[in-house]
Amino acid sequence: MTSLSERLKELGVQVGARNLNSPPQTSTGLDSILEGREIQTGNGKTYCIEKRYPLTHQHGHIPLEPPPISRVIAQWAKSPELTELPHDEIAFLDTETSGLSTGTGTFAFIVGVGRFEAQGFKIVQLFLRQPAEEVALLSALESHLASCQALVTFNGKSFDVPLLRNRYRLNNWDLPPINYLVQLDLLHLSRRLWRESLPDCCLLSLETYLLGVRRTAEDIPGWQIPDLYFDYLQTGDAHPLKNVFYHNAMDILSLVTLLHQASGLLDVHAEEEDLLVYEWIARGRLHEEQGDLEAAAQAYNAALTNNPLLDETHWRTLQRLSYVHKRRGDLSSAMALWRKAASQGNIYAYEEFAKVYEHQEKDYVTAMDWTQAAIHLMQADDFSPIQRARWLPELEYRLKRLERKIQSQKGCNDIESLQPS
Amino acid sequence: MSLEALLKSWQEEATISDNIVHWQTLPAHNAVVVPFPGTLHPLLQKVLQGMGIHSLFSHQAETWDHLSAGRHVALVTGTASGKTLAYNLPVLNHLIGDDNARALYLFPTKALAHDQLEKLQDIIGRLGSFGLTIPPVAAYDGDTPSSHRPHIRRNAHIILTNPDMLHTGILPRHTDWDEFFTGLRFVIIDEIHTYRGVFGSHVANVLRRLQRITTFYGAQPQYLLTSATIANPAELADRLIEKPITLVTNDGAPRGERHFLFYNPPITVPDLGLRASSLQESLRLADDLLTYNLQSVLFGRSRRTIELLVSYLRQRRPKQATAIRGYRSGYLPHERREIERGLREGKVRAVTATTALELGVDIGSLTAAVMVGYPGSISATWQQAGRAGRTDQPSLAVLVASASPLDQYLAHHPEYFFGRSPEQALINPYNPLIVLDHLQCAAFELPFQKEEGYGQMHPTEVTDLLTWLVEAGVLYLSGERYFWTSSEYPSGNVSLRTVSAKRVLLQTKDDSSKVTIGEIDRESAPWFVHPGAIYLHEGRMYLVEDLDLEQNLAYLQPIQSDYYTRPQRNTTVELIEQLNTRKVKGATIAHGDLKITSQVTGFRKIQWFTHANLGAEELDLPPTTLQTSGFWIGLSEEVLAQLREEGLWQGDQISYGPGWKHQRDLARARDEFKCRACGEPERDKAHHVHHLVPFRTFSTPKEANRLENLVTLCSACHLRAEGVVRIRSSLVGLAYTLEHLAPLLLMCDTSDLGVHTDITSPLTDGQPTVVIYEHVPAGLGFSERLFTQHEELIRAAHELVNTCPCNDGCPSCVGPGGEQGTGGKSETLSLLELLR
Repeated sequence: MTSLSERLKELGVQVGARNLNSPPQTSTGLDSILEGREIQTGNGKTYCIEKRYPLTHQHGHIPLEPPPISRVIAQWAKSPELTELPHDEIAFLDTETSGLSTGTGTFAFIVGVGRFEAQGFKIVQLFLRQPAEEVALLSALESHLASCQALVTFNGKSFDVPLLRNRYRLNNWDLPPINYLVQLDLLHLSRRLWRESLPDCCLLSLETYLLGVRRTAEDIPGWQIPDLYFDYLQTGDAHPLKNVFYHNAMDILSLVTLLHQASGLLDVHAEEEDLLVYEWIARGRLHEEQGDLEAAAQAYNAALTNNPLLDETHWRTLQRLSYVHKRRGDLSSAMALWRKAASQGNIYAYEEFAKVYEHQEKDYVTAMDWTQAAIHLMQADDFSPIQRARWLPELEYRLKRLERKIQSQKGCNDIESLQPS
Repeated sequence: MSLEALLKSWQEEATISDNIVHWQTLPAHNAVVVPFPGTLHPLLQKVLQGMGIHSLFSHQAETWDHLSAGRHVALVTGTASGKTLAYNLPVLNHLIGDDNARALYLFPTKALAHDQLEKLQDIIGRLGSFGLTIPPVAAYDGDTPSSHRPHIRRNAHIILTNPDMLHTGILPRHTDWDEFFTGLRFVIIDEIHTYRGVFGSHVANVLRRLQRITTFYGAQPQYLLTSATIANPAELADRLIEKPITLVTNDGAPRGERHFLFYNPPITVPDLGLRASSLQESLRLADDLLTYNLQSVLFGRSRRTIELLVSYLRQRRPKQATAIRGYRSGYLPHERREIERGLREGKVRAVTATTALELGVDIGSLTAAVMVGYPGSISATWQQAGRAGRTDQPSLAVLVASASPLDQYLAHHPEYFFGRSPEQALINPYNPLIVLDHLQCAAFELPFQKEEGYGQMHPTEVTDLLTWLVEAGVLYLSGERYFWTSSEYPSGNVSLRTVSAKRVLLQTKDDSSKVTIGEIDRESAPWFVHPGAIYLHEGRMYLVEDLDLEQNLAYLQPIQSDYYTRPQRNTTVELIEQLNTRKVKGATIAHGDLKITSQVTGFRKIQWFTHANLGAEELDLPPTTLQTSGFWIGLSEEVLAQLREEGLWQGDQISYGPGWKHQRDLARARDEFKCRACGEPERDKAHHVHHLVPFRTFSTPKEANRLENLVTLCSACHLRAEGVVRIRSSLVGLAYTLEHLAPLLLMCDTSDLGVHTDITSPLTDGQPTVVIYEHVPAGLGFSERLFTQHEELIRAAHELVNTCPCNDGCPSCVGPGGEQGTGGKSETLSLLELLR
């Protein structure tokens, strides 16, 4: 009787897409390659590499000093206590994993944690020599984070943290220790700050355009990382992994200087004349998200006055500012802006006017005029079909409702006029 | 107008009543009811009373009792017997008292889950009006917006989903469902009869994975399965969940009187045994149903059929066009919802549907169900018939027989249908390919321990496969556990329905934007939406402009076309391994693993209504391959010799028409009076002249006798050539018969099997061979059964062909004449005589 696997092979079935390297050799001493050491935990042994950087270390064009966390950022992260935290209680964390999906089959084989200490910045990289050592690695991570209050990551909210949480759960921790930490995800923050001014907000772009970081040839692209680890498992040769450790350490250093950059931008005491238009907008958006409408209006105003151009950015900023005014209840400032926008054919402004006249002023005829003007404009000018689909049904619906309201108002008036005075 | 009036008119109308070959009246039966169990929460009792329910049907109460006793239950009762309530009650009753308890509902389709969600929410809403709040229930499937998902995962106490979502979305991310799995108390699996064949074999493996996960979280849920009537519900349930299970089969629900008619379309061409088309006859019946204003459903076997039905029926009744709708897979969810609502509200008067509507989707109570052609199994026939008559009113089911051998067999032997229990639903949770797929998914979800089993698979077998996966680098053995070491997300690559996970989207280009009108699985795409195909959707015709198999997109253009298309396929069969063989009368038979390569090579354009061939076009599409198991019959030398001899004896009786003598002499002269096969020159007697493409294939002698179609052969070579034609013809006839009869013995769908004939087959050292293979990769065990039941199959085939009233082959026995160059009835019969 042939075994199942033989039968499958006869059926021509192949599994695994990779070409395996040569079978395991006697493992070369990790210590000499990775310059780390084995550590003992309550749940067995794991491996740890430490790297220290003096406070004078320049990462790109920013020195590796403890970054202040500005009030705006702390508020945005919904954790005001962040501004007060001692620097050594903030952990900068990045993981290297066996895949990109967040399913339960993906695990972290390097967990790097950077922290400030008295003399400088120290990165601890926990390394999974064998998958079976995961429980030890997680224990080591738990004790390393025990004295921390906050976790700074790049996309950690949707990737590193849920992944680690999964790993703790799968290794029978009832409550993953990272649940208690305040999270600050710099990817989300960066998107708010630099979305408009950078081609994208991946870490590499931020490093290139903002931090002045250039990685050496030692770095490798992220998508190659899982395979390097799998190769290591097959061959026992850790040499190629050195690049992954470098990659991980660089990511962590960039977290520090990126936070510097963001805090600097959002520090109320920053040299305001140095801020660029997009930085004002970014600031406005963060304030707006936090409901600090005064500060948002100020920032948007500054963005408008500092922008010499009547470009798309101008009109978008004007729109945002008008909504901030509206939310503050300052309708006359908002209307002043809408008048400008309407003169430029911005449909939203027409609609806002229609809304004001319909709901606030109860002046249905004027509301109808604005609505009709908008419809007319959409039909005449060359708006795209998408824009038409976005606006026209709404406008036409409003028009019908206004017609009804005018009719019934008229009816009431007629009845009133019939009454003897 | 009433159903009685319509039935009376049919009885009085000879052109209808003559075709009703069987009229079975199934008497009404009363409900068997039991008072509410004492443990049923008082508020639930109040809710039920508010819905007009004051007692339980006996099967609902029985289910309640078994569940209370901690047993796993399979509930097998008819359509509309209140199965939903049978599981909703115990689940809700338990959830009211236990805040940590969770329930998982599995439905075969998203549509069904959404339908049942509404029913559940109705009960929960009523409970709410009495001040009892139940934590939310939610559907969780491909249509659930990702922004809602985290909330549902954390909060819903009942999740309604389908096996596909469990497979790709839930199990591989089970840590997100931590609380849900920890509290999992009930697993409801509805309509398990749909989990058969390849789908069922996959689902059984998904359930094995679910079992591993619930064990990890320390939960021991109770299983409640429901099924339509099949022969082996206990076996199917057991193979699906691999646990002892208690069967509840006594249906206590009431039912109105039912009329079940077998309708056989009249013979139109007696010589050819041709009958009027089942489609046209069904249209006539449907037309009458509309006239009498009786809401009805027409079931067709293929998408094509139901699209034809819609467009023909609309042509007959243009004023009611919007009340006539089509319904099948490939329609978008909102379209389906709209049609379902239309049916419930009575706005839709006739719906033409595929099996997509056979499931328990709530469409209210219809009066009549017309089946255009035998649905393929006894079980499915009862399911479809059950779509009519959900109330205590009389109802009607009509089976309109098509020309297929199985339909004709049943039209002549209705007692076979009414006397026989429905088929068994077969699954093979041990199909090695399917196991291999799911073992990888399972390893991704939780590392296997050394010596861990998998379902009821022995740890040794599991270790064998895991070791192989380790060798391939997909798994890594570390500290007695197998870790997933690939960056792939394995369940993303495994489709539960087909061999491949890929679907082809059907898109039309509007002025500026693209609209997706439906989708189709990757394997079927070259068949249905090859370039140049006319594709029907919601009664509209589309011309396929392009099929992009890299992007998995087909581009369609709405069109008004006077023709439809029929693709042509080229298939080759290679042997991988022969597993068993034996000598039988006249042949050697075997079964084993095969590689089937098929390619859509072209298509023909066929005119609507007249079915005239308007021309053919060639296509250049990549072939698809299938590794599966098959059963084959290789004819013996003696049989071949006998067939050749009979051929000689029968030959030369055809008149080749005027001018034949002249054409024959021209051919001889062209060939320099030599045999083109062996070179032998003519001596005292003239050589024969042979038609390359057989004479009777052509409509006129002139065409048949074209010089290009003629070749000079000596008498010995001519005998061989004619023999080949004759043998090929008998093979094709045999294959056709076996393909259509096999499902009767095998209890599978016709579509599960393919046939292939080869005059010199590599499977049998060059002997003429018929191959029957399974469409499921690696097979589900059908071939092996055919191998053991060969004699019975041949006997049934002989009986069918021998008693068929046609003269020279018809669609109901050996297949229509002409296609392969002959009407092969006599040849097939001779062959069957020799094999019998």
